[in-house]
Amino acid sequence: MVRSDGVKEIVVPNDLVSAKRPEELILEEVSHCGYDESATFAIKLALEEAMTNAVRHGNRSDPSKRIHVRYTVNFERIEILVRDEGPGFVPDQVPDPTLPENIDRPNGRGIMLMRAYLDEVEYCEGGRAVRLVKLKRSEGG
Amino acid sequence: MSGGPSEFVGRRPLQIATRREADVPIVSISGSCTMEQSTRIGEALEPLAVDPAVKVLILDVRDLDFIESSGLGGVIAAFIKCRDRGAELRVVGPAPAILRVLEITRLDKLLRICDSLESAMPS
Repeated sequence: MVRSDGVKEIVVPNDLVSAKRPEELILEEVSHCGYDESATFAIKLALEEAMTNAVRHGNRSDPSKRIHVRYTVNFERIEILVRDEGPGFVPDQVPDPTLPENIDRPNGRGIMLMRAYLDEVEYCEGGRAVRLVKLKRSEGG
Repeated sequence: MSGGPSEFVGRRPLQIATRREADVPIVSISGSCTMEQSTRIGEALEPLAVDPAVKVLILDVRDLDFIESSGLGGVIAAFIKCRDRGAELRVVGPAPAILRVLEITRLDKLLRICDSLESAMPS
């Protein structure tokens, strides 16, 4: 669905297979706008992490909940908002997986990867939504 | 990873194959480890990671072109199971994009990463 402000929106059921659809739509536009392989990798990785967090942690694998994705992709920037229907969380309370005491924890690296690959990662709405931004000029980052 | 637009990043399906060379188990993963199938890596590694007869377990990622954090979690879980019983998990040949993911998450400091299958084989 395209809103009046040009932002596109898709709502999907809360499962990891359905969560692929926004990624497919966004990556089609990323390719159309000429982003290089590194930027495509970055957006794909960030979307996988954000959608997985929404399904498993935000919506706690509840099949009655949904994930809302709004996005704009143009020749200068990619901006995506992923919102779940869960209770939210405090990002600063997620243990740093690179600390020696946490380094061998199997989980907790998704937020770190999003921050490393994107220009902006901002949690809002009490942790129920995350805004992701990738700038064209930062390709390769 | 540079160059022109790409439609194909991360679109090859994940494939996992296990074989043995000189009695050393080698799990090869290729394609893309995406969120909906990320548990498959851990499921492939786990029985070998807990097998008392396995002293060295090799994970061949030379043909892997994408992995997200849940897939990494399966690798870490297998690493811990090996480490806790005195065995070793060795990772072979990550491509630059995969190596960067390992470096960002500092897993390059935790895992033994080898350039080639030959160098990963126990002497």
